[in-house]
Amino acid sequence: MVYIESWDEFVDRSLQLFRADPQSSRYVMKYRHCDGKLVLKVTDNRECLKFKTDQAQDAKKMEKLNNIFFTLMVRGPDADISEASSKEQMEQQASKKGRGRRQ
Amino acid sequence: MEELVRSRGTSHRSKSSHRRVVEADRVEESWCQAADPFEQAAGQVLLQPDPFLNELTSMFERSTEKGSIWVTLKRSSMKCKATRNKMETSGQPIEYRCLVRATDGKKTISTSLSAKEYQKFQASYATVLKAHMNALKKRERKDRKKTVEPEKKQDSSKSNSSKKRALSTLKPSK
Repeated sequence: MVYIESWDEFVDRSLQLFRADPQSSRYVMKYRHCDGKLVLKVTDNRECLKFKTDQAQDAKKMEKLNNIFFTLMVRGPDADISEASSKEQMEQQASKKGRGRRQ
Repeated sequence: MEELVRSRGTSHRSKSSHRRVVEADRVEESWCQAADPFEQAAGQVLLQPDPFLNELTSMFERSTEKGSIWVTLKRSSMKCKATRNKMETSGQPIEYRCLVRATDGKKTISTSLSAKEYQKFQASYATVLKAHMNALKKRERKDRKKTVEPEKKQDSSKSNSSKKRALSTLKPSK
């Protein structure tokens, strides 16, 4: 199991790993409140990438990665994951439901 | 081929993570075999997204003093291999969902998200995490000494502001 130091490298390699085998890859998050530790893991049951941290700022970065994985897993590995688009779509959806409440 | 007996409360970390892998396939298998759609292999519960989030919140609240929470995301069609193969050969499009599982080591809950549901879930999920994952360290990027700002009473001549100067020098990181 490899702990990756750089967040960006972890993200890049994780997405690569997932796209190579979307059926077997999974993304795991482990949080320990008592130790204040967060560990992320992406694996396809052959290779394993991990990232650990105790920093609050990494939790914010993880949020974005969560969104990316949700999109990829539901829409497929070729889905467009530009984060801006996912936020826009959320707002679009909200306004649809609002029916003119938001203008 | 059941090589691992599911016994709760094992202290072997490496085995439990492998067990979770086996679990992953088992959940998918049992989903199409169980007569009752909510019946899962060995005590895993499939919930709707909102009850899942409520239960996840409770898990976080129970695990502050000790324990861990694992949340796993996986792409899944929620169909067993046999059904999937049949659908592939007959040319039927397979709809994929996002399987989300959460466990505190003792109890496991899960939910599955469709393309329509996932964005709303994603937002609520982020809220839950933000609310509960607050034991992580906040890093002060700029370690400043508390500099005393010169008082500018003449600027906007109002009564002395009771603002604490210390607070005004702190900036939230990022």
